[in-house]
Amino acid sequence: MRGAALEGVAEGALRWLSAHRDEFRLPHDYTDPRHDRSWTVRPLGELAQLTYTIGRLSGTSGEVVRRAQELFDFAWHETGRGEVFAALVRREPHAAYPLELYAVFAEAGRHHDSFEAQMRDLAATRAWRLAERPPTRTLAVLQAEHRLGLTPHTDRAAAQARTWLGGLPEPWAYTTDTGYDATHYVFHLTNWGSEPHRLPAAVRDYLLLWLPAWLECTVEAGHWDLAGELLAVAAVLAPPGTLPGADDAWRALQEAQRPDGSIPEHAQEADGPDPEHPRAGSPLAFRSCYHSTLVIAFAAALTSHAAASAGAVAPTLKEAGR
Amino acid sequence: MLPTKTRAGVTAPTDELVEEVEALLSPTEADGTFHDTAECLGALLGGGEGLLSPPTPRPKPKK
Amino acid sequence: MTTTGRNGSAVHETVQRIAHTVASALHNGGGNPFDLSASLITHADDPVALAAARVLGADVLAPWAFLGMPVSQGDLALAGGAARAFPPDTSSVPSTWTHWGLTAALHRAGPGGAPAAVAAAEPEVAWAVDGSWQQITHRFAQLASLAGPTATALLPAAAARADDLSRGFVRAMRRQDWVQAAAVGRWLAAAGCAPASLGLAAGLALVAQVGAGDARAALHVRAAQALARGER
Repeated sequence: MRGAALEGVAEGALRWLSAHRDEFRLPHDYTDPRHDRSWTVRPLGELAQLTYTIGRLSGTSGEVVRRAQELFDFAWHETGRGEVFAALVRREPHAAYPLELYAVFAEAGRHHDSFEAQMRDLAATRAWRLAERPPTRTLAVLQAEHRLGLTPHTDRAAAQARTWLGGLPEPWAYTTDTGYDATHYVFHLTNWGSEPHRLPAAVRDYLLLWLPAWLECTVEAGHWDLAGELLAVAAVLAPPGTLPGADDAWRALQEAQRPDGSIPEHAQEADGPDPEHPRAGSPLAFRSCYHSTLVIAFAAALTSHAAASAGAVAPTLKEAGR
Repeated sequence: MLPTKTRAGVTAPTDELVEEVEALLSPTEADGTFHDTAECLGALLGGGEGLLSPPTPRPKPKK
Repeated sequence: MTTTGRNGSAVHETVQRIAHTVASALHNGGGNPFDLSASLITHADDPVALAAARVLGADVLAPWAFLGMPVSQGDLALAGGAARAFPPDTSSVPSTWTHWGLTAALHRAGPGGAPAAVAAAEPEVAWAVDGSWQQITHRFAQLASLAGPTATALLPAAAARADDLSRGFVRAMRRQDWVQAAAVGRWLAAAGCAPASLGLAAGLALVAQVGAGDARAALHVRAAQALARGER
């Protein structure tokens, strides 16, 4: 029964994503540089990755799985079965982001052969190996190489140790930026929570100690998007109910989730992305919450799955109509 | 309120002062201040965006 | 930590002056003689000085407790006067503990200068066992003047919750509540069992630099650093 409230969070978020899926569609001239990739292929890629993961989790409701799988199929269709990535790298032969965004499709058994062939050649070059990237992005690239069956361009253990989280920093240096570095370390290493055992023991122990403090601060600051990512990490770390503060954080997110199933990135945006442009359905409204709504669906599904796997009870949330 | 004298003739603190002392002994927490770097996040991404990295920065809404 | 809106009051200002003086003494060592009441230039019955001394509690005698610096008669009178003028509110954990700490320090520093009720038993620490990490952090921070070279039941209680207090330290740092961070850090230094990954010394050094706005933060940092060095 208590788990049902958490599933309600996931269902609500996925309903919103389904209802707004057309806003993930790419413009017809998506390779044109006037289109910021952050607002075109990147949201589509994020939709693909997270719905793929959600759609394969046990312990979640049938509706959650069904909607996630539909959205993943939709995303693959929107990429022209991979043709979008092929077109992007014909235009930008040295970019890494197409590989990163494509990798989930390969894992799902959906391939674009000429794109993969071009990536195989690219990933074998010195230039690819030498490309300067933030350490956590290197983990993303390594993970993409792994999923395509490519030789890793650098030593993974060394790359992990060079990241903020991997080096086990003073936990009081936590900021929003480092918070995202930390969550992405976990996502890349555990393949978005599906392989928890790949987290090094020292990092797991470190997170068990410090994540409660980070989570509490992030919720207090009203950063719902980052709080959702931290809760996804929490689901990977420990059975639900064991990490101090996770239940409280879930209650805060549930409270922040709107009736239409979306959740704003920050508490200050609860009234809409811009008081001057409150129009629902506007591109601004979509941009302001697609990411956080995807994240909360992902985190809720991971948490339900972790609870079911551990035989534990999912977090205590207030029933609707509180 | 005028200070009162104890039997020893020493001036006892006012109620106000006692209240202030007790408040200073058990302060409530101030609101947290969460400062993050003002350095533009876009500058760090350096050409090509990462998957599910921090949400793409948007212009701040007018208050 | 904040007061109930009395920043700028005479008591608050005097608390800051005393805290600053004590912090400097703890930081610089026993070079110059320490005489708080003389530096305050006030008479022994000044209610504001007594109030401020009561707020800081045992810490008005910290240079003696931590570094063995001689205590002036004026300071014994100030501390004793504070204890007499502001007896504990027995319904308040911080009030009872800080008062106990003040009288215990007075008893040790200058026999004959302490009020008659000095031999009272320590107040209770049950709250430290079951409280959430946020609750106990807040409470221990209020009792930081008890984190000194002489142990009380608070010390093993803090040690038993070292991980949780460390979380409280991280939270205080992130919220930029420098006084609370320094106060909790002082307990962790006293208990000596903060997790290694916390980086307590570096955190306290940062508070010393950015927390200068409140002298109580400086006081707690210097006390913590003295404890970490194993003073006395």
